[in-house]
Amino acid sequence: MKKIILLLLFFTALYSDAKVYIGSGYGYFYEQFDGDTNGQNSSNMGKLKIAYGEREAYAIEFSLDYIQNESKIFSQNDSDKYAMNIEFVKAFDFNIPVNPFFKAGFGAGFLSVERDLQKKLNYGSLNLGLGMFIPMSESFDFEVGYDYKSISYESVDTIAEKVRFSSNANIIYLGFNIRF
Amino acid sequence: MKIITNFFLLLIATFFISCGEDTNAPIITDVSKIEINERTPTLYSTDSSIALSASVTYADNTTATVTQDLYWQSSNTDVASVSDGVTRIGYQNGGDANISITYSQMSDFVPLRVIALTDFAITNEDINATGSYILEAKGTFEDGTMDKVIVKNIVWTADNSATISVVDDVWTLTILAGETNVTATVFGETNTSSPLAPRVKTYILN
Repeated sequence: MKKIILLLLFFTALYSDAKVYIGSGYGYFYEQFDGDTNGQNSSNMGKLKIAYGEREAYAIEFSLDYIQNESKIFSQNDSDKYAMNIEFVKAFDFNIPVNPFFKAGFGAGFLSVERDLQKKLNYGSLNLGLGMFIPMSESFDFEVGYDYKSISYESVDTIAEKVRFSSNANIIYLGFNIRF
Repeated sequence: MKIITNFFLLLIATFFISCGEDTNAPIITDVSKIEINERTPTLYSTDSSIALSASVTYADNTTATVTQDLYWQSSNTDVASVSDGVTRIGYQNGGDANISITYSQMSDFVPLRVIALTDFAITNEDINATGSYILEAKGTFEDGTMDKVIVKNIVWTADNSATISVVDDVWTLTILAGETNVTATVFGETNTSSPLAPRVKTYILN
């Protein structure tokens, strides 16, 4: 926690032109499970975020994800997923109409399952992404991006063994940001 | 502008590449029930133990042995105690107990019957030479079983200069000389009017 705060202070001091911005996005989420499980899940997702930084330089973003879930990976009635993420964004100004960026971070989430021994499964993710801000004005821009998440789920208890699942998720999204 | 167009094309390509069928059957089957495999276990009250086992049945009807993954409990430890399925006889001569398993909210139990000892006798033949001898007694039980070797709930004593040692429920008498009274006591029973009063056998070494 201390390291996160120090990092925030570091970015604050280094980039005094940074602004708080909030954003929202809509995307398509596709998840493929590792190994022989052949589980996959494709669904819509929504994202809300609050962030601090510069459109042309660095930013740190906190986001909340809502991921629809129509699949039955862990039980006959897996719920939608909820997750939160923290990501560091590095954007560039190439004197073109857009500001490309890449980002990296991590997240954590959960979904409800209907198993005899478990009602909820938590997961963690390592996040990588790239995309671009498309500025419309000083305080408004669109954002198009691609996120990759390496997801590790809490182990599933079968009594005889505890089985861990992991997956790879690809997300494409379109959103907008309002900068203050 | 070209960059933007290319990026959009890349995203659209990714979208189509990644489109797939959702999984509609769980990739890991759910637990359906746990149960003790031996449904009517019995023990004689002078037996040592019986090994019970438990299995889990999954929603797809497959099973797995999970004997050591569950919490085992006996309802009456005077009759029998249990740990990891190994059910050890208690200190009571016969009786009933429920042996149960639990895991999270799941459970199962079976009734355990312990058959009481009704009579017994020391079965060692005459000992007439210096040396070590394994002591043995056999019992008759309430279900009519006879001549069953008594393993548990028996204590052997000897007088004179003889010594008795016990290792893993095997009692060994070391006898040197003279007249030795060997006594077998079951279930701590010392009431001489009881059918299970201590049995005494005298060995004389010439």
